Amino acid sequence: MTDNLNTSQFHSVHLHEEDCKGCTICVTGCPAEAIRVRDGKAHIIEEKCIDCGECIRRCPNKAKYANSNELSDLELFARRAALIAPAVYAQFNLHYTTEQIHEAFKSIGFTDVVDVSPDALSVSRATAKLFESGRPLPKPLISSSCPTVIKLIEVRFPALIDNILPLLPPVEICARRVRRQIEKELKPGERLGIFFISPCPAKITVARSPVGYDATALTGAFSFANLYLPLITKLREIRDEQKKKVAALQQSEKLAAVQKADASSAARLLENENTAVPDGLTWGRESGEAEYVARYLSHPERFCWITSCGIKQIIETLEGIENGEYSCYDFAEIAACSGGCLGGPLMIKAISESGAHMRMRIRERAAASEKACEDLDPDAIALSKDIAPRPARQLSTDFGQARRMMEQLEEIAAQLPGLDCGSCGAPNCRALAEDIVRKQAHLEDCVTIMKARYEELLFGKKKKKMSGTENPEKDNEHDNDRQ
Amino acid sequence: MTFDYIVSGDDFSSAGTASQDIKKRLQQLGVPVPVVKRTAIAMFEAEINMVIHAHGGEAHVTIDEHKITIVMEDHGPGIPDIDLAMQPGYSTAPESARDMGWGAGMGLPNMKKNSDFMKIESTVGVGTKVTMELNIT
Repeated sequence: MTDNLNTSQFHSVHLHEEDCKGCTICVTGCPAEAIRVRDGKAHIIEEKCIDCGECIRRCPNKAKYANSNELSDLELFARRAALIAPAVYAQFNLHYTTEQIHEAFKSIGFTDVVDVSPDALSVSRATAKLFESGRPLPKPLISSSCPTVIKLIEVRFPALIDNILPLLPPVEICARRVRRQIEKELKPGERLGIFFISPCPAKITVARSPVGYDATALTGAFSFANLYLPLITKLREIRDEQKKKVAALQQSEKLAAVQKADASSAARLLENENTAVPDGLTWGRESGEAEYVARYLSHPERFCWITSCGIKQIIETLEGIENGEYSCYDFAEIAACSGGCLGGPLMIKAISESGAHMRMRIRERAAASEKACEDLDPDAIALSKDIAPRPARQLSTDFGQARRMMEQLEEIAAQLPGLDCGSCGAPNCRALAEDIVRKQAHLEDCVTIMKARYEELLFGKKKKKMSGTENPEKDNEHDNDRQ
Repeated sequence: MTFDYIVSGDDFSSAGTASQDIKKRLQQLGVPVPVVKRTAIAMFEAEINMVIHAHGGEAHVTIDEHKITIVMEDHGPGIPDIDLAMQPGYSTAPESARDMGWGAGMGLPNMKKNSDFMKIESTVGVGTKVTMELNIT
């Protein structure tokens, strides 16, 4: 099992080398500037990566993927639990019931299927308790549920580490709960495997290298994208089977309406019945978490929060928090993906559709989640390990050396054309300058500079703006080459 | 090592870009996190002030071995009474700035709080020069 498992502590993104054309689309699209094309293939700079999965989304050749467990790994375990996050339920059309979804998971190899939404509610409840504990808290507290946000803070906003909500994420609380329950039922020699069905590479990584706590109760994680096809195939079989048996399979007339009527009238029908029935399921979408925290407070009207999602927007928000612009807010619900977990890189449905599914599924799940939600002491689910700054930006650990390198960097950057074309394999000209200073690239990697050199050699032309061609030492090198 | 920036006037959307750039550079240099944070806040407030009151100006940041010196210079209206301007809550920000959440009168006090040394030189009708220093320890 471990053979094909990524061992990076930072990310779960892997590359099908044979499919990578070295096109640099992932390089220029990476919000952490963590990818370089070297020798024609995309490489991740480990310590810079925040595991957001943007490269998986962008790769036109589908060469990037999230490396996760495979169904054959389940054979090692007598009991095999799948933990399902709210956003995953929302990937299935409404004519599939929760029970049918659970049945499909069982038919592809799991023995136990567990909904994570009650644990999301438990976290919100404990967060509310924390707010009412009278402890001094930094403002705003930043949700700890998105690992990419934590990693972004480690790399780029280390001053905000203290603002991270010091509570375990719902999936870990759920995994611990499930482990406690099922372990009691195991016979001697039997093994228990607990797997998260993940919307993103970051939560796959957390199943192996958690941030903010040491031991995880998870055994591993599956990419939802990899499971979708077997699941939907099974779901169709399950549904066909039931159709044959009884015509009255529809649980209610409303669900039948969803099947038959056009989507909008069905939505209206359900919405009428379900206005404001809150449920842990909404955790997977923007603002879902904060609304729950508010709900458990004795004075929800005094609770102020901001939400932010989508990598570009969250960077702006974190800048704002660092500048002290948002210190009047109690809570910041920040998720790396646009649309929250619904927009995860390993999700199948467009947010517009899965968002509608989520709204409508609320009714189905509300009572169950409420009942299963635990009243936990914040200290009992506190993060147990310091989150450490990751100085990936630092040029050198020696301040004097770092200053010299920055001066060189400025000189080199001034020679580069500033086109930010990515052809050199770095995301932009400044990043190339930094790579050169770090001795990981050469000035000649710049195609514009290279072209000017060739033109000079072939035609004796000297372009005005290419000051990079005026380095006598380098010019001599090329003269020698020609001889 | 000095970095120079033009802070464009009346453009709230780009206000903060200079302090953001400095923050990145300080991280590249490995300056301790709390110092980076204080520098970013002090400079950000100064940038915002420049946009609100003085139609922009210039920022010069020098990074020496032991300290960061931020000089913010504008050709705005000047500050008639610096002591008054330094009082928390005092503000002459226009309505447009207040609508955007600025103008709470905390800009200068915040700059002072976050820097180790601050000097304001201002002449009414000519402009204002704010010098802030932060020790790198």
